[in-house]
Amino acid sequence: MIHTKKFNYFKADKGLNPCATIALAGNPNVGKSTVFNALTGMHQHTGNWPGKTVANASGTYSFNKKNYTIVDLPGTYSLLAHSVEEEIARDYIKSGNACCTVVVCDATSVERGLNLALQTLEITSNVVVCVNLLDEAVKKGIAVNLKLLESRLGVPVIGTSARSKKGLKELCRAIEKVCSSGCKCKISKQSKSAIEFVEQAELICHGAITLVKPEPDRTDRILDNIFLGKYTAIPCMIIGLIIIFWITIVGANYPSEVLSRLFFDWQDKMLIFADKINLPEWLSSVLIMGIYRVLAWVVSVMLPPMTIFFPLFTLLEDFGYLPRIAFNLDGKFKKCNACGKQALTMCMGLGCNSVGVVGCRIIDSPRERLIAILTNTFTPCNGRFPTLIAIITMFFIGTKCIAFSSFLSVILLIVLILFSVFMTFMMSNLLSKTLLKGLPSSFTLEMPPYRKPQIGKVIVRSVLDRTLFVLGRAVVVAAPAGLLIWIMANIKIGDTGILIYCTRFLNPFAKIMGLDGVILMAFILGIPANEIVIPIIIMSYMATGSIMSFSSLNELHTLLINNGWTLSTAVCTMLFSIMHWPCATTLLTIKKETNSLKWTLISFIVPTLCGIIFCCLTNYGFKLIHFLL
Amino acid sequence: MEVNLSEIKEKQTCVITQVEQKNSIFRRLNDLGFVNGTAVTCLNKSRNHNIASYRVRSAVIALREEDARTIKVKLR
Repeated sequence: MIHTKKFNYFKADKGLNPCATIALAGNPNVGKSTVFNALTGMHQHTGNWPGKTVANASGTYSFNKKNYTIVDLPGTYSLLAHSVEEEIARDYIKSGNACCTVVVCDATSVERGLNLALQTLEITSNVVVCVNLLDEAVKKGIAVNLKLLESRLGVPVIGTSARSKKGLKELCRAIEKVCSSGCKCKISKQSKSAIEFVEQAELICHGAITLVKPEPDRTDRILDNIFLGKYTAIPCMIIGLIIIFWITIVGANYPSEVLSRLFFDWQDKMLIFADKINLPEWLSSVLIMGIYRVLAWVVSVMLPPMTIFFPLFTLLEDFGYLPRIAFNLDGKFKKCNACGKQALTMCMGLGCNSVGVVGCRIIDSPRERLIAILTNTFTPCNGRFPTLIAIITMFFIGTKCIAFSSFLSVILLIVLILFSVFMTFMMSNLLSKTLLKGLPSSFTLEMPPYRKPQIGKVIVRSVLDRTLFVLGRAVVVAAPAGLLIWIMANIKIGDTGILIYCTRFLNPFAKIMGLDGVILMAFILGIPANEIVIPIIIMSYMATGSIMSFSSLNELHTLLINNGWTLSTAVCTMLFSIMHWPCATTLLTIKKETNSLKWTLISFIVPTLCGIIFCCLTNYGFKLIHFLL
Repeated sequence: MEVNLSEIKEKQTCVITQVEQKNSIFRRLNDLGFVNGTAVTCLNKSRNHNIASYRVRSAVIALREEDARTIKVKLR
């Protein structure tokens, strides 16, 4: 019953039965995807800012023993086709592929939803209007007279609260009724102008929407005055960053310690067991010291921060704060000739760079979209800031005296993130003056009402999803990488391992950047997944050194120092982590989104060049200071 | 007296008298409800006044100053 399929609107899907296909239309951010999820049981993510659904899906559900296919159209403000999304939505509704079009509206803003509904009614009379987010309207004291709207529009108007799964049965019933009354598509007249639709919507809503409380959006306005206020906007953003990362770092500390102790306990037990059953030494070495060890590192060091950060970020998204960030940062983006919505894609990049790149579709202007895509990789993603946290912990703080040192770790991390934001602005500015010249374009930014996130549900779903995802990637990417390192370390040409040949080869170049051959090789091998960089560094040092086992990040400090790490090395590694080539998934996504090998190549070169330059500068800066002192 | 929407101060309400047609986002503004005769309230302005949020027909939309300048309004 449940299947996920990327819907290709440009190919008529002959497999879908037109008399059981429903199109789901509506303004952005009205809960279309929530309705979709509730009906199909799929888990398309629903955030709280306009334009969230960028990849569309179709799913199926059954009602009264009949199967229905439901297609989630992109959110649009109108069908009069000024943008690709609107064209897609309009063409799909016109095509007659769907027997019924459900127009989803936000109960707190029905007039605007009716604008779209009226435009849809010009094309087809098989429409059901779904007034969603009814619970929010009740909270704000907005009463919607559904019956009156139904009588004025002439089509079923159903109230739902898709988040709490209310009203869905009535919705399915109305859809069933409309579908069974046969498929009628009108010949498109399109005689009305946009203004006439707006005025007609106003007339229809007159008297049907009543305010029980005088100021329904009072809470939203109070919050906006704080989050957008002249003196409070930036402090709020910084405090928000601090809170999120503090929880991430502190929350990840304990599980990390426990997991790493556990895994290395098991490692010793496994070695003893392998010895007992007379497993050949090379086999136990490859399995345990190679594959198992790298998996243990990824799960104990990288997994906890990733699993904690994601739900926090999702909660922030669902709350509706992200458009406010875009509002606050728009001025700076305008100075760089870029779009304020880039702030949104930057935030998405904090979760995953590849998602951030796809999210750039919310930027209308192709030039500004490209700038956002090319600079997205400057934002450290979920897989990269555990690397930063690990280095900060290993090298600067250590894991003793939890409370104060955690705060210091957070501050250092925030400094790095602010640096990456600064680099994003710099590069956007540079790109808009060289490769991507142009003037800033107009855009409208919708500021949706704040919504209380379903905290429990988000945390549980996010933690499970993330854990599975990271574990999956660990098996697919980290394990082979561990195997590779083991092979390189143990297969010798002459009397030195391949590993040492490789690192010696990279060493001179790496030293100029303040790194060493092992670090550079780890970054290269980390193209498939950034979270394996630190595990590879550790394993490489251990494979060529004499330390055989240890269990905590503290002892890693010794390992690093023994292998020549200085303060300069740590800083350069962190800088390079922020500014280097995008990971494989992101590169593939960029190729898909831009459809251009040239821009994908540029997206590879730009951050790498920046990384090399900054690392060299930092390295020689440290040397200079050392020389002068 | 007709002024530009960008000149409206925070918390002030006004009525739209004209939306400039040459504007590239003219159509988008119409779809969002910025139409002659509509009441608009300016809610928040950013620090250097380059972007501001406006309440129009129970939704809140933020517009850059140069775009708001193309909308002519009359103070209530």
